[in-house]
Amino acid sequence: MADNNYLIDIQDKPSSSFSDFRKRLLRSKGAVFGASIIILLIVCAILAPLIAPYGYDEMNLPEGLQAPSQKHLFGTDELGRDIFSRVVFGSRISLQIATIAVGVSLIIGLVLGALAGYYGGIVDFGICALTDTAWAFPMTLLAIAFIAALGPGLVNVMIAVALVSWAGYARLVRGQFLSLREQEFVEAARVLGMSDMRIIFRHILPNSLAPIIVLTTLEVPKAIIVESSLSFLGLGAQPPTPSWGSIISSGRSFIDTAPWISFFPGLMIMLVVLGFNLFGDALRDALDPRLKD
Amino acid sequence: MDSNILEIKNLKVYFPVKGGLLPKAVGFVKAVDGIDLTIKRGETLGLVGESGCGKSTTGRAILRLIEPNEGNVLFEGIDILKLNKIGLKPLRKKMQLIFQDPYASLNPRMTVGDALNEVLYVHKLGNQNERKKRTIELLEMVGLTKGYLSRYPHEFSGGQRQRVVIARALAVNPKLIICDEPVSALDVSIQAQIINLMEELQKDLKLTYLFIAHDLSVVKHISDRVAVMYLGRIVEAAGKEELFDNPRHPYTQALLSAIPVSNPDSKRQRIILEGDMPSPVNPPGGCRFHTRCHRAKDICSKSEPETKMLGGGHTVACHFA
Repeated sequence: MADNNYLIDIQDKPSSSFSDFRKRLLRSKGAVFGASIIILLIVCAILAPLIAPYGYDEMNLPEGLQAPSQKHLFGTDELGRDIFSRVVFGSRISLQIATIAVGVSLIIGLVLGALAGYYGGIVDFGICALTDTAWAFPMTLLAIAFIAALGPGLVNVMIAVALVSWAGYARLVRGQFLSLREQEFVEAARVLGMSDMRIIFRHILPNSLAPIIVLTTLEVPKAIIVESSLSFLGLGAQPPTPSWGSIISSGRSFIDTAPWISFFPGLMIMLVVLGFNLFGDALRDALDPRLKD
Repeated sequence: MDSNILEIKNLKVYFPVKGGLLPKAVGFVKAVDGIDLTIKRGETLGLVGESGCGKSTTGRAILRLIEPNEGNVLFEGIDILKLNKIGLKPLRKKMQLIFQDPYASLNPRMTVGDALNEVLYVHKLGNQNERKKRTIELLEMVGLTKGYLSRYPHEFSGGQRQRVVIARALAVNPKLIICDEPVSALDVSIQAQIINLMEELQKDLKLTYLFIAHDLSVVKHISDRVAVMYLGRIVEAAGKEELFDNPRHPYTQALLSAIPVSNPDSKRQRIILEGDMPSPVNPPGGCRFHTRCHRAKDICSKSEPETKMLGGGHTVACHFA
């Protein structure tokens, strides 16, 4: 055993890198604003039945096409349904898209990207060809093609969104794996006899999480836009399910006389997308160690 | 038991040079081009040479981090290059690697404790409590304390990290450690500490080192025998004293003349090598060193020198030695 005279002592203390990160994140106004919108969206979606004063499909024909008032905060549509209630329930759809569709595309992209980046060679060649093909199509167009094949409906929209947005993750993860697998700590893990799965999940993946998290926050608004677009075209959520896109669409015929029907769900889409983008940008900045002060 | 722990025979590592529209090999970088080397149990073999001569590639090829193209690597009589992945795992416990850059060789997302524990876990060395005890023991072996367990690598200096890297390599109780320039990224004062630590560990744990370096003073200090590499070949190998006192290959002579001396008045003849090392894609014919050799004659560019045995384990590949 080595001579114990020169043991280099150190105090036991937990690492503070997370609190550093939180401090940097909270310093950004965009992050705080974005996070507030995201939290608001989540609260709305969970507590929708408590927040909404009316049911989302509760018709009241005599009160049709009323302008915003105290009774109907965002006005009513041609069937007398309360737009505020519909928008509140609509947040559930957007959140479902944000979590399920983006989650599935993340898993597809992660697995394919990791395989391509870690193993390289023919595996990489095949996966890259697939990824580049998927990447070449405009997202909405490809999603419409999938819906055409699968048929309209919310579940199919989620499948379509997942199938059009995995390519971004695959490319990012592949790049991360390509650079990290050459790192000495990965070589060390191999010399120490660790399995490929352990190296991928315990050594490479944790070190590529930061950009993946950032990309996810930036992919969510894209997915919400695609869902809204599809619902607007009548390919997504079917009536009376209140998706923001379909509410805008149904307000189209009354845009001169009752613009509030389309305005409020449109405003919500804009705010939520803005919120996620601001938060994602701030997250990227906060996670970038070069900006540490 | 055999006194040679590692025998390398005719090891070749070629990297394909890809070119053209459809990637295909248009040539090969002959990084290691047929080397023979033996390491005796318990000794330290220094492997020296300038950047790009293939010394790190040799170390990595021995551990199969890079797949060699040809040759045999016998570790305690077993040919490592013939083993599959499963057969290789038990050998991972016997051979370890210490890296050059302690800033890159530790996973930044893992605490020191987790990193050490993982190694023990993967090789099923003890239950949770035993592993915990062993990690502390390992840290103390390299001069650290258990306060390091819950810390991340970024909280340490280079020297401290290198100690952790050494502890990690020792976790599996290896017999042979390949040290790939383990101190060249450290401050001189820290270098001495790490070298001393490695020497103590060698004595206590009966380790064998393959010490890859370009710093001749460090090699002279730690090695028992030294092999000099040039352009993928071993040009000279001998016991330390013999090699430093009586270098026979002109390349070795040039290298040794470049060691800084502390006495400014000492008169010595420096041999300045001209030009760069030739490309390993197209190594010069004949003796590979003839393009830069101050003693080169016609024969050097025509025929390749045989490796001559000079007695006392001194081997040299030169026409004039």
